[in-house]
This record gives sequence, structure tokens and C-alpha cells, in this order.
Amino acid sequence: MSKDRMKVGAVIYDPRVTVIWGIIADFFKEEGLEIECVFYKDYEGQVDGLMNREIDIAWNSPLAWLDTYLRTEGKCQMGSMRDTDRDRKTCFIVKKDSGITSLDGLRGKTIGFGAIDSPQARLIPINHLHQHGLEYEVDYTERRFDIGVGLHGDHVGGELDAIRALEAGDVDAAVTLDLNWEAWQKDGTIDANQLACIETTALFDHCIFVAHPDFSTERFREWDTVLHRMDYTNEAHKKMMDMEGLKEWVEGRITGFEQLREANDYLKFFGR
Amino acid sequence: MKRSTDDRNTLYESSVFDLSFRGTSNDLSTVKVYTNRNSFQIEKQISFDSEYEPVTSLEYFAGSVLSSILLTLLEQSKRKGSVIEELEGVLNLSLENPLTMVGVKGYEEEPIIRKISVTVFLFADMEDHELDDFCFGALNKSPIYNTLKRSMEFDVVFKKLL
Repeated sequence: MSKDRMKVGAVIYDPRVTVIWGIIADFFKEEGLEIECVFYKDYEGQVDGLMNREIDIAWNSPLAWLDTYLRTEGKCQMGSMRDTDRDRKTCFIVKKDSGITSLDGLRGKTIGFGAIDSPQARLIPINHLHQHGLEYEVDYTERRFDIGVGLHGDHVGGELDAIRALEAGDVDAAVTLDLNWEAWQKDGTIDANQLACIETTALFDHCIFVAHPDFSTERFREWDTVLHRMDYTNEAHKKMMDMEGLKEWVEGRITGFEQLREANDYLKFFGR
Repeated sequence: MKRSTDDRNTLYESSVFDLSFRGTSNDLSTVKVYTNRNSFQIEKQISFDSEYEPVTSLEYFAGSVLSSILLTLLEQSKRKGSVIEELEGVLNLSLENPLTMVGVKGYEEEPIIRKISVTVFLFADMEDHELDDFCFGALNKSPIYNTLKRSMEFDVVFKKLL
């Protein structure tokens, strides 16, 4: 078995995020498994990097997972995800005094979405509307907030701008990830007395580690094994886990990406 | 005595003060900088970790800029009979293209300090216009300010404490 350093890719839009990867790399070194972190500007570049073997493993958004899955004809290997990546949902938010109480009330209205490539703030909710009889570009008007295109919705800016547009009366509804909706109510970013969630999508999953089809499965399992040794009760690990928003690494699964696959088919996002 | 106006008679030392510093890296990881009589060690140009404790190159730089401005005010104040009674300053710095520094693929633009803003709060028993004349006059005697104002957006605002 090759003991070359595993090359792990991550998309970075804020230099502070490199601190997380520094902690992960140090932890793996302590565990006797050296890794090399390779940082990318956007997910397309990272998937390119995985495909041409610049990296062995990629920390992928759900859309980057789908991109990899399609480019490798389903042969890419899936690794772990954060506990918080599982069973997410998107919330449809309206003003309480709007009189809109269900998805049907959005017919003919303007809906604020996040970035063009955001799974949670555009692709999945558009698919959800489609499943409930509201067709894209027919039954409602899309108003997109393209912040951080290429980051697949990692940057919350687009979702927050959509909510701000809702508050300002520029759109009739906005969509946002459940975690953001909850956090913004708690920290006062939004006035929960003025807004209401009228609908949520079915549950879906978020980020996942993905390895190239030709990368040694044994070594990928070795990576997973060490990763799962991270312990939230360990002060050193806790810092990284808090920054990355998890309490535990859990086994990956691809069943949680079904809605995204449907959305891709519906919108022909990847044109395949 | 006839005063010379001939440039050839101007002494170099009268118009330029030269300094030199030595930096070494025995461990090929950190840099030790030697001044005339002291030395200090720097591990990183910049740290994006809020818990990182050692002083970085960028922090020394910002500290140098801020202290130069405050010190020039204090020096000029002493020359006027210690007119400043209280002094405090805040410096904000914007580093552009930080992702190039951490090696993110796709970013090639040079990292650069694009903007520095300094706000100086001071108490001095002077009229407003008099204080402004004093502060801006003093600022012009800061070599660090004079150098940087030519290469970036550099704002200094003086606020009188009441």
C-alpha cells in the first residue's frame, strides 16, 4: 500500500477556513496519516482537480458530488459527512401579513432564491415547487441573488439577501436552509414576528467527502477511520468541529441527494 | 560667511539617514530580525487564526504605522509645551487578495494592503482650527505616513475628545 500523502481538496472563500484544514492536517499527522490540503477557488475547479488526480479526496458540496458522480459515471467513492449534513430541509418564507399560507399562494408571485448553483436555496426548492405543480419560468417569477457563484451556496449571502428583499417587499417569498432560518431567528438577524415558514422541502443531505474512482478504497477507508476518531469532547478537536459546524463525523450516504438529482434533470443544470 | 547653495556641497548624511537590518532563519521556518541592539522573532507574515498569539509581520507593520502617527503627534506636542493631554488611535487595514497568500488555486492576484484608516482621538486645550493645524502639521512629519500615503488609500481622521 502506498504511503504517499493523501491529497485532500477543499473550496476556500475565506482565509480563516484554512485554519480548520490546518487543524485537520495536524490531527491526521498525529494519527500517523499525513495529508496534503489543496485549496480551490470554486467547486468546478475542485472537481476538475479530482478528475485529473491533482487530489485524491474532495470535500464536496452536494452539487459537486453530483458533478463528480456524473463525470465518473457513478464510479466515484463516497466518504463521510458531518452529522449536520444529514436531513436538512429548505424553508419557504413569507411575510406573515402577506396572506400567503401555502405553496399554491405563490402562483404568479416573485420568489427570492440564492445563487444560481445553490442546492438548498435554488435547485432543490425549484424542484419542490415543480413537484407541487408550480413550474419554473411559468407559474412564478424567479429573483436570484447570485452571491458567491461557484461556491454552491456555501456563502449565506444570497439567502440572506433574498430574505432582506422579502422584508423590503421586493419579493413575495424567499427560500433558505433550515439551519439559517433557525440561526437568524435566534440571533436577531431577522424579525421572526414578521416572517413565517409556510412550507419545507423533504429532507436532503449536504456536503460529503468524495474520492476518485481509482483512489485506493483501502486508503480511503483509512482516511475515514482516522476522521471518525475526532472527538468533540477533546478540546483541540472541538475548536475545529465548532468552526466546521459538526459534533461528529458520520457515515456518508447518497440517498440524501435524490432531490438534487431530480432538480438537475428538471433544470438540466449540468446539461447532461 | 557665504552660505553654499551648491548641491555638490550638500552632505549626504544631512539629507539621508540610512538604516540596515539583518534577518536570519536558522530553522528555515521563522525569521529573526536584528536591530542595532535588539532582535525579534517572527513566525508568520499574517495569521488568519484568531487564537494565534505571536506577533506577525502584518501586525508589526500596522503597529509601526499607528505608533509612528501617535508618536509624531506626541513629539510635536512636547515641542509646543505638551499640548496633548490624552491620546488614543485606532487603525483599520484592508488586505486585498488574502486567498493568494494561502495558496488557493484560481487566485493569482497579488496580495496588497489596499487601504488604511486611522482615527486619532485626542484631548488638547486648543480651538478646533488650531488643533487641526497642529495635527495635520504633525502628521506631515511622520515618515511612515508620508511614504504610505503615496502608495495606497490612507485616511487619517482626528477627533477631539470633549
